[in-house]
Amino acid sequence: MPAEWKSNIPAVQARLALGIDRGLIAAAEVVRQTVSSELRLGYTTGEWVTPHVALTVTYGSPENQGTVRVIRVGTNVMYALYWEVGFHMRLWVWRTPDGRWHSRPGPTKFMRREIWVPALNATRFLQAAEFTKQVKRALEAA
Amino acid sequence: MTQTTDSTAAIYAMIRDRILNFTPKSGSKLKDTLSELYVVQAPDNAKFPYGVMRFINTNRDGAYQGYRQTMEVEVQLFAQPRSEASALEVMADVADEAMLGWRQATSGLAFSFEGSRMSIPPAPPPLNSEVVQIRLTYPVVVWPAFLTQYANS
Repeated sequence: MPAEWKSNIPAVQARLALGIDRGLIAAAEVVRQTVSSELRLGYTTGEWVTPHVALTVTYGSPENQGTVRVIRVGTNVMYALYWEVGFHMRLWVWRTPDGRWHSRPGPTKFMRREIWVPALNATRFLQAAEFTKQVKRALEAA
Repeated sequence: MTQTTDSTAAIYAMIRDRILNFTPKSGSKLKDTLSELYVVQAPDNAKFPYGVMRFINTNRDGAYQGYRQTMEVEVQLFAQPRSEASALEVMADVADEAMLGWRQATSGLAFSFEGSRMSIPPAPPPLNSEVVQIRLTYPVVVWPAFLTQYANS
């Protein structure tokens, strides 16, 4: 009986695509957890922290961007952007010894607390490891 | 000015000089339109329009035995009031032109190859919504002399 050759490339490509998507989700989860943990420490002294932004950190589904597959991690809370890139204050705010807060217009002061980009950079090896794990699992299941 | 990669401060000075003194095909140099381009942080009483530049995400990959440094040069431009938004965009164009295809090979090796830009939307109260802010980032690769001097030892 003559030997027959059958290509398995389509199946491998399908498993690879699945692995890439799962890998992106795994990497996004690493970033989400790191950013969320950092946000719980607050932007300034840590005295007045609500989990408002920390609880809204999320990620989307893998999507195409040209020939590249990407996933977005973010929040829908707008002021997180201003803390990340920095902003100018319009008011001077201070607290007197009796515990009361006061404010008055004053010279603009620049404030910034970066969380997202440092988290993305600090976890890059862990993201790559989690991504690779998912791709390997998908290919080994084929 | 002498372009060197002998130290991080020298690399800052080299890129700052490039951005401030680049002559665009049309328009003015940034040293004539910005009050100052600060490094890392501006003083509280900085005069608008001004810029702040900083290196972020500086990494040395093990694949190059640590001699090759990659980082992003972040440049933020600020102006006030909001009617200055168009003028600030023109200044951002000049910064983009300065970093477009920039390379330096007289001391170590340094080059940029792409960039991104974001015009920050007006901030809500209590932030100052009259401040215009544009964030520019340029990935840069550097083989700095202060590291490559150890390459043959």
